Amino acid sequence: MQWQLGLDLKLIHFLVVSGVLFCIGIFGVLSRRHLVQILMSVELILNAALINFIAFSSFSDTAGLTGQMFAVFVIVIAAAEVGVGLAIILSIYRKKKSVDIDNINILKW
Amino acid sequence: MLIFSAIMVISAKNIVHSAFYLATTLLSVAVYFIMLRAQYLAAVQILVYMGAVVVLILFALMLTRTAVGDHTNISSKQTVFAGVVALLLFAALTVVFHITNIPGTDVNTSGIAVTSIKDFSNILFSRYALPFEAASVLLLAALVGSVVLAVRGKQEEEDKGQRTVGDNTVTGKKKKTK
Repeated sequence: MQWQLGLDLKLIHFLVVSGVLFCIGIFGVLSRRHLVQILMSVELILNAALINFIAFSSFSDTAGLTGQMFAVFVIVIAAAEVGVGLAIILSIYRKKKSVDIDNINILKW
Repeated sequence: MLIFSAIMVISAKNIVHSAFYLATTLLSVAVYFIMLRAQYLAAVQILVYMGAVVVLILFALMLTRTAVGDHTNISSKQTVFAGVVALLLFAALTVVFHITNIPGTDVNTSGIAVTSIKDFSNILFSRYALPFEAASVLLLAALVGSVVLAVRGKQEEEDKGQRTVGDNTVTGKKKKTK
């Protein structure tokens, strides 16, 4: 059940890709104003971590399937977090009638 | 394609478009999993992330009544600062990658063994059974918590509505039509 890719991909390629995705996610979290879009950027960050985990688990001899186990639990936790985060966003929308993060400043001094 | 769709997630003009770009980003991440010979995880990722998370996000966009049409995306005033932070982080990451001596950098992807589901489930239910049960408790807590958050806000809204509207309840309307 082996299949061949046309390219020679080493571990560093996957690490760089996950690093770029992570940085794009952090840029999205810091610079977006819509709450749901911030949540989408958090999902990008989590996916970057997933690629990293599975790349290390596939390329290393001693790690075995630990990275893939971790990846399964990261997927589970991310799904739970999106559910709770969206419930929070809906509560905020009910109270303030806007999802602009600049309007949510009740705790400001 | 992954990087293109990730950039479009945060910079699409329409917010619903950026949710669809998130779906294509998750699909390319699943393709990366297949490249790393973890095909069961690719299927799980497509099912859970693209099936559930993107649908949840689209529902949230609908329920928070985002404006319909183009140019609904708004960007913050801190875009330049965020870009600087992201670039600095990426520079730090590349420096770390070149400095550290990661074992296994000489192997190509053709040297990876395909992960069989038999091994995967064997490990999941024997060695990682405790995190598995803990994850199910976490899912239960998340489910109950999000329902409580949603219902409590709705009850407050109903109480306020009945107090301000006053006589215009259902019984009041019936009396008027008679």
